Amino acid sequence: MAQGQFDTEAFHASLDAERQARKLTWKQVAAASGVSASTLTRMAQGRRPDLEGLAKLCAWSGLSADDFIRKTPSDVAEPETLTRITTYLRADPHLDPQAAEMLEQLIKTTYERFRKK
Amino acid sequence: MARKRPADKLRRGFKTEAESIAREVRAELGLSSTAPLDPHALAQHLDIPSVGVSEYARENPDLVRFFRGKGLSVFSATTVFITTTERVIVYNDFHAITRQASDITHECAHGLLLHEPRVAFGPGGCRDVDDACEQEAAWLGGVLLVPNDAAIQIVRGKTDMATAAQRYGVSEDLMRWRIRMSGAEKIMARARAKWNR
Repeated sequence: MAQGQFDTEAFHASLDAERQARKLTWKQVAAASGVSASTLTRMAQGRRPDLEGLAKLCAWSGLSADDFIRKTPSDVAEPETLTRITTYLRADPHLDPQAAEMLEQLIKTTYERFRKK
Repeated sequence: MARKRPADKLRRGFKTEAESIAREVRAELGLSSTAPLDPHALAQHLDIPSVGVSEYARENPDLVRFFRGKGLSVFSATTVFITTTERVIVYNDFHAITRQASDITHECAHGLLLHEPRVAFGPGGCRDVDDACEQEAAWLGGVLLVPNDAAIQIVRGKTDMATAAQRYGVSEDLMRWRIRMSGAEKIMARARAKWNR
């Protein structure tokens, strides 16, 4: 990550920790902090929140935005391995081997196409 | 595998939460409470990339051939996580457009609810997924596509199911389900009884 960049992923993770500590759903976090549900979804997608959203989330959580501004360049993270690609896929328990293989290929191909290189 | 409608076992307060989320995000998209939703516009608004199976024709033609033919009923849509939080929607674009709409909206609903991934896709294939999250996404997806106000308007206007389903880009089955779940018929019956007094 470049110097002076806001670490959205780390901020989201810290918010999540706070959410879980307070036993809230993400919708409840949105309502309590005054940001929209879609703002939180976009943040999970890597989109930096706007200043107003960031201020509201910091006010709610007690986190400091300054803690998430990278002051020194960090090393590029290793790409995630394929051993734990996660999905919501619901499998038919009677799936035949060819279908299972094709689904696996579909998930892997999608992961490969979109993962950060 | 056809998507099942959620049984009425949603957690307490969830339906109110879902209606609030749907109202909010539809307003962000500039939609009135009775306007049809474009699922692709929703995914874009949430910054969730989506890809149809047919787009893999060049890199894996066997895959595309399978999901267009023999495997059509095997796969409709899912979310693939490319990091611990970032999601991508992959859907079977060989299904009817109404099915695709329902599937993409369902996956977006998982995104709006920020459901975590629950399945590790490793050696041995797929495993079963958290049913509660599936039911929540199915409910929110339905409310996003056909809000309660839309259902009431359809019942009040005595619109036939085929026309209503076409207007909202959904199947007649989904439309009937949403009208039932919204209580639109009971609401209209009560209103008519009141006017007839």
